[in-house]
Amino acid sequence: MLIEAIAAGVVGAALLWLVLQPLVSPSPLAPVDLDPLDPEETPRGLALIALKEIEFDRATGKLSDDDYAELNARYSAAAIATLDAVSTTVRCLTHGVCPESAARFCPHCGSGLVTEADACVACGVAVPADAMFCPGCGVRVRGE
Amino acid sequence: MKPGAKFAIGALVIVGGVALMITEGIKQTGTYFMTPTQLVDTATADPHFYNLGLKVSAKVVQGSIKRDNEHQRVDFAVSDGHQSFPVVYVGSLAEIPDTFTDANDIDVVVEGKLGREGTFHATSVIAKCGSKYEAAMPKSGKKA
Amino acid sequence: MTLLGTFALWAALLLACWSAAIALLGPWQRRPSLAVAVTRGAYAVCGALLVATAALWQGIFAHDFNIEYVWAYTSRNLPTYYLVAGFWAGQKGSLLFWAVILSIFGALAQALTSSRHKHLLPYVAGVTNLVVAFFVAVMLFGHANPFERMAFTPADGRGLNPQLQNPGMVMHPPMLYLGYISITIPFAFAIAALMARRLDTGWIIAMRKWALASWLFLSIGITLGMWWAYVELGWGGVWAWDPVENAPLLAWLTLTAFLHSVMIQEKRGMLKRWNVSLMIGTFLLSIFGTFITRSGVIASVHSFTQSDIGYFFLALLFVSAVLSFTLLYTRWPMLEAEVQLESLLSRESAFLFNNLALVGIAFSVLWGTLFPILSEAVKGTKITVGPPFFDRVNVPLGLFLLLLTGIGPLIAWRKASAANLRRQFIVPLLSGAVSAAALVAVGLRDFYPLVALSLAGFVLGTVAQEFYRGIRARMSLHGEHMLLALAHLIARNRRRYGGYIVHVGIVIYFVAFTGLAFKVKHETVLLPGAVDTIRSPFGHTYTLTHLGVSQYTRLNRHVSVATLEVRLDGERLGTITSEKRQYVDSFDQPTFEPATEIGLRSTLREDLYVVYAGSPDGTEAARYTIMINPLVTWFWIGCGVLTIGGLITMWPGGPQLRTPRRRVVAQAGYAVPLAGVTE
Repeated sequence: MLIEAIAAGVVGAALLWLVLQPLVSPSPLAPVDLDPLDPEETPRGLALIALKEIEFDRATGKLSDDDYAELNARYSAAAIATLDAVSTTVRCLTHGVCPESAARFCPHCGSGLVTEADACVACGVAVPADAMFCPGCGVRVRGE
Repeated sequence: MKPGAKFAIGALVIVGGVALMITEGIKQTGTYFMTPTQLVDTATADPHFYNLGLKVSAKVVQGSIKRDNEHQRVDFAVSDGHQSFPVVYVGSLAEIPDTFTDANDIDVVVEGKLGREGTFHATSVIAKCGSKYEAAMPKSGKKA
Repeated sequence: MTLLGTFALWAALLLACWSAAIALLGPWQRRPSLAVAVTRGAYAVCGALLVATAALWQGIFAHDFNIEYVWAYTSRNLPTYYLVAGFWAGQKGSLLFWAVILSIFGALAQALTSSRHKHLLPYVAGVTNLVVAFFVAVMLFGHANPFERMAFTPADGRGLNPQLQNPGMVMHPPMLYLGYISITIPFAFAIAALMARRLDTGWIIAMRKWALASWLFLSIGITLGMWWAYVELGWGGVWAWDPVENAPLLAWLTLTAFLHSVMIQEKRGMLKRWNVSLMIGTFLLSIFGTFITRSGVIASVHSFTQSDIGYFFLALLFVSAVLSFTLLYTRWPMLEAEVQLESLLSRESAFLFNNLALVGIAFSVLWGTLFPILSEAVKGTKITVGPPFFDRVNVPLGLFLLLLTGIGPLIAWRKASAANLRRQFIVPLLSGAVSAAALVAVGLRDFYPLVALSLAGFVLGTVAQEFYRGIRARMSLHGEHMLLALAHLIARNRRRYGGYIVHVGIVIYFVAFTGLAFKVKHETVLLPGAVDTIRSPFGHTYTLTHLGVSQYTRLNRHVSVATLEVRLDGERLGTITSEKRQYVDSFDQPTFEPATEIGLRSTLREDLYVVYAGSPDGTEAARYTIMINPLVTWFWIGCGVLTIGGLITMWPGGPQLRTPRRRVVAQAGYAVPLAGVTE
């Protein structure tokens, strides 16, 4: 009985510490490497996926040449429209992308924003300032 | 016509078909499910209910079960506390579940017809057993 | 350890309520440290419930019969693996099981979600903890605390219901629970996206593996239930349209619809409102299923004690429906579709029809299940509908769905033209027609089985063509060897080709269901040495000789076993036995009604299914029900195929463009020519 009560006390204290620790000693907000974006989350990624699919559908005989030409033109245009855009997104770790790209602090919580400047729109990997192609996935990130 | 409108027409056909199948299905296969009191009352008021296929849920009267193995026949009585009537089941005794006993107020569902002479001619007997087959079991009955 | 267990339950309740309140009412948005604390709440609740779980298992294994739950569901002579199952055998224990699994899933959702979707996580923690809090509250306030002690200590427990002493029963409830419970996670992501007003595809990417996992758990759980009903209930069928069977099927149907329609949202930005509604609906149906299973409001051959606990679930159902749909209503304008349907001849519209059919089936099953209650409320007399109703409505709908399974993959996304469709449909249609002709040639004349099997041929033709053309396309685009092309085809398009394998599994289920239409059933009383014959629908004859009845005693039961010698077309196959069991406690007192163990001889073609229904008045004669059930084994094979396909779709490793440090051309699998750009 006594042992059980002690065990209960220990368990309770441990759980309380687990939950309250971030409140008692908040860790300073350091920029964290965010996981790269899924292609499906970016306009360029979506357009590239659609292009691949169209290509494959033609190869397996699902799309006629006319439909292929029309769809390919449309999604190529969509992909090209995103080509020159190097993202300068700023992102709060808890509130996600901040619409004000010039902001340095999150409008919701005031914590510092992580700059994703020079991140590839297709895969999210950081792109060096002089690179024309993304080192992560190889898509062209800057125009001529 | 727009593709959206064409789709809406197809959708209406499917939804209408499902609705029709459900109403027709219930009209043609629905069976009344009553207590002995309800059945005797309705049948007295509306003789149409004699010899109509339906289900009755009641308790087996203690000590009333008489099995006749030779003729594949079981006689017993059911009651809901107010009304009671004799039931005769003729058919495979293997179809009678193990749980069907007259020991302690077993709940039973009998399917069949109430004859004008006041005997219920059952075509199937399903026993439910209370206490031990607890609600927590996803499945714990006997299918007759 | 009941003190520790009860304490852990209270700790879990308080922590869950605290973190849910903060997460959903919102002061954390302005304090990042509070957001961290909220997500830590999910781990803490999980920890507390794991302690409670350990405490209950400790009580069960220590045979502490002073604990009411341990006394009610286990006994000293119960084999060890059934002691493990005793944890979820009763109402109270299964509530704890539910809560602990949900909290584990909740913690995993926090740990496994990519940092990109971090903004959703406090809300997700809030929703999962709220549901956990509900289950713990039912235990603590609904007289369902599994740690309750009694005033005295019985010498032995009542033991486990014999129908649950079956390997399938050790697996079936946990699997079904895993399915039911894991639905809460995708639902929590949907609610989180609505609350955070982040309604892009982010939440779908964050939760789609969870939705697939729930679907897989539910499929396996339902199939294990079928298997258990088949081998344990002795009526020789797998599905009886009982309310308790229908309950998980409802959630399975809407979840299947969701898994299809969500692809349209990912690719085209359409159907956002429909998808959120389907997810909410699936969660509500999972709660509704729990309500049906536990309240006994709907008469079922699976018998239940009436229990007040059901009304807690009814309240949860009502409250969560009102809250979710109100939330959806306030976010309605943000869920505008980005594009319109481009063509009726497109995979989008095939998916939409598939959704309608699935939801139509779900609705008819729900309606049939609820009809006794509805008719009593409206007309005063209860009207029940049984298998004939469900078969009438769902067989045509199911076949329509099977047809769509064959059509959908043949049509391209976005649009298709008639000339192409002809090229696409020739092989599958031919495959369907050949199946039909072959079946007619061997003498099959029944309408529905003929349609079902021809459609099965059609769908298999579709899948085979998809694989064949995919491999050929890769071989010509990359010059790969055939096997390499197949491996790359599946590995680089896991969802599509895994999905096709799942379709094959579903086709196998349909074939197995068709087989049940040809079952043969026969009853007989045999004296020792007497011979009986039964003809299988495949045309051969089983000759069965009754060898006698013997009796013996095992650890926790007395057994009467009847033995038949089996000959197939004159060739001796061996013996088959069926048992009547009387379970007893350690003082040799009978504990349950007698139970029957069936005798089963399975082949790919058919099952010989023998039920010993007792001996007339102590003679050595035996009453048998003998059945030939064609193709039943294919249910279990279909489940295996479906599981493999499901695992392929879920296998980690993202879509093709993501692998870092390789050129896009290399990983995309084939070159993507951009019109107007030359590189």
